[in-house]
Amino acid sequence: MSNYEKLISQETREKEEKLELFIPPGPRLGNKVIEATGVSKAYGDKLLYENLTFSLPPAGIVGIIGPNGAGKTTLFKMITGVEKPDAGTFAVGETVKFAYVDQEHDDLKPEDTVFQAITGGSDLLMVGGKEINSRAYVSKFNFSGTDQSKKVKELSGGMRNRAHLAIALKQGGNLLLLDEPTNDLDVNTLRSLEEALENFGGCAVIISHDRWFLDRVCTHILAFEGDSQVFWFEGSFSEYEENKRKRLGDEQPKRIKYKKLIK
Amino acid sequence: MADEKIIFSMAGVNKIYPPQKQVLKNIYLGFYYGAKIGVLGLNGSGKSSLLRIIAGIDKEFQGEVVSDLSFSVGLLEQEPQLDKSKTVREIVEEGVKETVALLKEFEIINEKFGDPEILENPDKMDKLIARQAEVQDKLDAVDAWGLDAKLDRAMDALRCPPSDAKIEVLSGGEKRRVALCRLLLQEPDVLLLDEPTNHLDAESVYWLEQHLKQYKGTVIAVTHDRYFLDNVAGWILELDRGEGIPWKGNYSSWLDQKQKRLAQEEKSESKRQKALERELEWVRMPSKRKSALEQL
Repeated sequence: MSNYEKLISQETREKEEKLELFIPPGPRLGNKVIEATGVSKAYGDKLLYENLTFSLPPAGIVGIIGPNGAGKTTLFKMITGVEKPDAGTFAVGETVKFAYVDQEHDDLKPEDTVFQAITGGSDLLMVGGKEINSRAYVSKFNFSGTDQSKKVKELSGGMRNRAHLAIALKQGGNLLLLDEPTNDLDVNTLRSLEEALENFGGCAVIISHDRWFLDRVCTHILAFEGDSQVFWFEGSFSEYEENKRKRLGDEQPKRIKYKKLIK
Repeated sequence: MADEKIIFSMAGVNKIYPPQKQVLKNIYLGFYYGAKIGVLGLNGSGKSSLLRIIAGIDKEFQGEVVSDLSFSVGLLEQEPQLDKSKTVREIVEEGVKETVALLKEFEIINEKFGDPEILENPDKMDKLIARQAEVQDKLDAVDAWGLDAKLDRAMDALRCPPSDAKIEVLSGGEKRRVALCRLLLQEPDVLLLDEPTNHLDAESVYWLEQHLKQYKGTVIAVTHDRYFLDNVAGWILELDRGEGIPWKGNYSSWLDQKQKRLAQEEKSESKRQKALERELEWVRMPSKRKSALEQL
């Protein structure tokens, strides 16, 4: 067992040295990660989804796609336990440790600098049991020297999102929750994030519309297809698209519709 | 091609934000009519500034721009300003305002045929009939009779909020979708897009990609959507510390040359170069992804 652990840490270190960005794997993940069975959830009088059933296996990376307002964020809230399903069961495994930043209620202090907010102010960061230079870590998220000393309250929406991403990735969780991480990244940072995710030992659930990103990292797709229907698919985004065309025909996108909740 | 026409050119353009932040450095570029150009660069590399100069909104720069004034230009900004008191439908209709005005006139003409004053005056009657024919020809020419369906299709494809929703209650992302919808309906000769795929979902991005692929005019898009850059762009313009480096080809071919260039520049193999190599490997994989895409 100790040999195994040694091997893992050896492999981890080798990977880390090759990559520009590295996500620590977090504690060992059991077989049960997320299991949703017959889940229904409404928001006001709109039925977001009904009879949603899926099981996320360990090492699975799920891309969540669909129009805004279809219930993607509510799904995140059910995973973290903030919201409960109206019907069915939504279970998260006991070994699961989240890594995420709640974008609506982050605890970033307005007077902190970017550097302080991400690193807590120390020169060295412990990431995955290894010390790394804090400045170097922050700069990987495309924060230049002057950007790093900007105050949180002065940040644009895009910079704030990047700060969230930097905070989430160093937390050492085994289930990563990311909401539109690609929006404010340039192709270099995107590429290093993709590589980091491909080499990440844990699970991830990622809301994204970036098809290249989805194709490169996702093992599963959870698609909000309108009319309160959610489709669980094992495979890449392009494979999902092909599947969808076969099922539903070659339609152009429509504005989102919900079933009315009848009580 | 001999008949390729440059419709906009920049010579020695510099843009400096006071006191001395230089975002564009000595830019020499010419843009062909009908070219599809993807602009790449880090945050703060001058991408938005470049679009604003081409759009004619920013005139505070050094150097020279030459544009053919007979061409129309339209820009989607990151945070578009829309009239808050209007509805979604009213903003979208602004994109086709000539047609909307003609339809209105046609309606008024038809009402006048019931007006006794005109019915009893053959002169006025003849004039009205002539004007009706004129307006009808114009309407036929722009296929105005299908306008409602066209607007609905465009609003659906970009998943705009309900037509009667007021702009003041919309989120930032919703406003952008409405502004993009209006701009695409306007069909300017030069379409300038600043991060058009942010705030769209994957399906709408795919729709936009198909739409821009067959767009008649020039498209200049600042984007990091690599399928978009691969499938639509015929040129990649890389902005690096204010300097513009054009490349004729799509994203994959740009990656390829960039990797070779980096290899020459740095003898030692950097992590960045290795990462480029691995992304290229992924691009070249004869994967299911590729065969799926080719069937489209």
